[in-house]
Amino acid sequence: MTVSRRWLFQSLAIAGVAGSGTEAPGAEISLDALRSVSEAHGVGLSDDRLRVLQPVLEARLPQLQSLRDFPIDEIIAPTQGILDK
Amino acid sequence: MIQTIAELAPLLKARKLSPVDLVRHLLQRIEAVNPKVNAFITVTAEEALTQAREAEKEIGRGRYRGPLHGIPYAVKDLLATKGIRTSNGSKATSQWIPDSESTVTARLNQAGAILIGKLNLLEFAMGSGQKGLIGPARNPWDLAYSPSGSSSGSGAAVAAGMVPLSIGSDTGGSIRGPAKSCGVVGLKPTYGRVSLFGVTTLSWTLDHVGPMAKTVAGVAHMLQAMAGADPQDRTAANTPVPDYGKSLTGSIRGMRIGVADAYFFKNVHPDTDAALRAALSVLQKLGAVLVDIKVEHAAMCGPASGVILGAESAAYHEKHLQASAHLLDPLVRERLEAATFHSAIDYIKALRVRTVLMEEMRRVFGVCDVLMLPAGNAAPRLEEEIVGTDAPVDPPPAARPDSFNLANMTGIPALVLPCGFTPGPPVLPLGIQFCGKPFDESALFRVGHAYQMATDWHKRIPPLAI
Repeated sequence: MTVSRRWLFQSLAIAGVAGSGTEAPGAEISLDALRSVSEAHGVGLSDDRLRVLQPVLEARLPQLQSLRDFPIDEIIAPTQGILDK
Repeated sequence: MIQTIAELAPLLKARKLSPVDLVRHLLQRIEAVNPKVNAFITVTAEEALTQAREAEKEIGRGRYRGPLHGIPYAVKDLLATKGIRTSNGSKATSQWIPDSESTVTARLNQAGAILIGKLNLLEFAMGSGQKGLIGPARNPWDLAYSPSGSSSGSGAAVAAGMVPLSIGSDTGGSIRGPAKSCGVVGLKPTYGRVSLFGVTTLSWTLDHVGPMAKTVAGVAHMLQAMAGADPQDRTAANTPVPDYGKSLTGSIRGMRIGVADAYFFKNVHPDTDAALRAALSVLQKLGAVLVDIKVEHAAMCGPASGVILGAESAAYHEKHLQASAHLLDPLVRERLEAATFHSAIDYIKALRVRTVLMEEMRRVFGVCDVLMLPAGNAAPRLEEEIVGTDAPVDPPPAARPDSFNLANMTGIPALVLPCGFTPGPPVLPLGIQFCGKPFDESALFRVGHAYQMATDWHKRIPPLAI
């Protein structure tokens, strides 16, 4: 299939590869979308593997979106779990 | 026979009980009970008897090592044991025989404890339990029910009286859930308190390994032996390990116990809620002061820890996914496959949320000494068990997993102990959770031990174990 720039960005956003700034109105997670993402990642997942993860990604989208929507000050740096000792 | 360290250690020290007889008794018990409970993957009978004979000789010569000397224990089968199969509960690694010893088992062995076997678990600490190496462990209180996971065998084996002490691992409640469901005590120590060397990784920054036993005192004695810096694990903290025995006073007068806000109680069953309120009433009568606590961004625990766990586990298991995906529990495979799509930006956002939550917990522990949180509802039936956020069926109502994730995300220690039972049938254990300041496991032992001295929930024995 021909992968348009819009199609690719939609796919990336749905699958969690792009940030919240990417618009993906009305898009759905389809095998074609995931295949595009997979190819864009350079991993070339088989259809068998793509079928496995399609429902999982769909179920996780709301949680992922809530994380992206969470407002956080730019000054706050990541912590990797090492406590003050 | 189910006995605690407090009962066993004096008998062993005084040579009124032989470690060999104790091991033999437990091996018989395992042979009789394990076919029903399915808690053990491997029973190390010969090795245990050899160690027991050695312990008997040492104690006989007056070289008593301490309260763990001669006491059998078992570990979740994702802790490496040199020369002993370590399966991770997976067909993909079912024949792995490590050539090195995990720091935890090495230290317990050094303290004189006797390894009696390797325990069932959810595959790689993240599977469904249904399609792992040997099928699911069962809850000794009712075999139709789950012991919860992922340290399912660790909780079930202690509850069923097959072993007095066990080790589990906890990335999102995997020690505390089974402790609650099986009616035993489980501790997720502070991140860095116990070395993770030789523990198969699920998530580098969320993983913890910790002890399980019938009593808080038992868990405290185990942590004493396990804790401390380790040159083989750079995340193991060089923070002094206090004498935990000093916290087992029974006194909590003036202790400030934070009670989490309604968010954490949203899906708590009325039976659980009543048991928690009754436990708080007991603690108040012992002199504790209750303080209302709000964790402002608790709702972000789930989304953030999900991304961290997913991304880190997918990175760790990259080779398994490529080489042996067909051998994995479908749930494990689904989770790992999906997590390969997490973006670096989402992962870093999740780590920044962790920073926010850690700051919030610093504020919380400015106004209380320990924080009480629910530990989930009573165990689900085996076939209804929640197998993760990706369960193909609607999960039954459950307490928010955020009550577990919070401690993994922020690294604070958390202790679960029994606080009641469902009215039944079926009669199933209920649990209460206390979280503490980083490296202040002593406060958790203090409140937990005082509660156990004032109640007898931990003395109840499942019908199977009598």
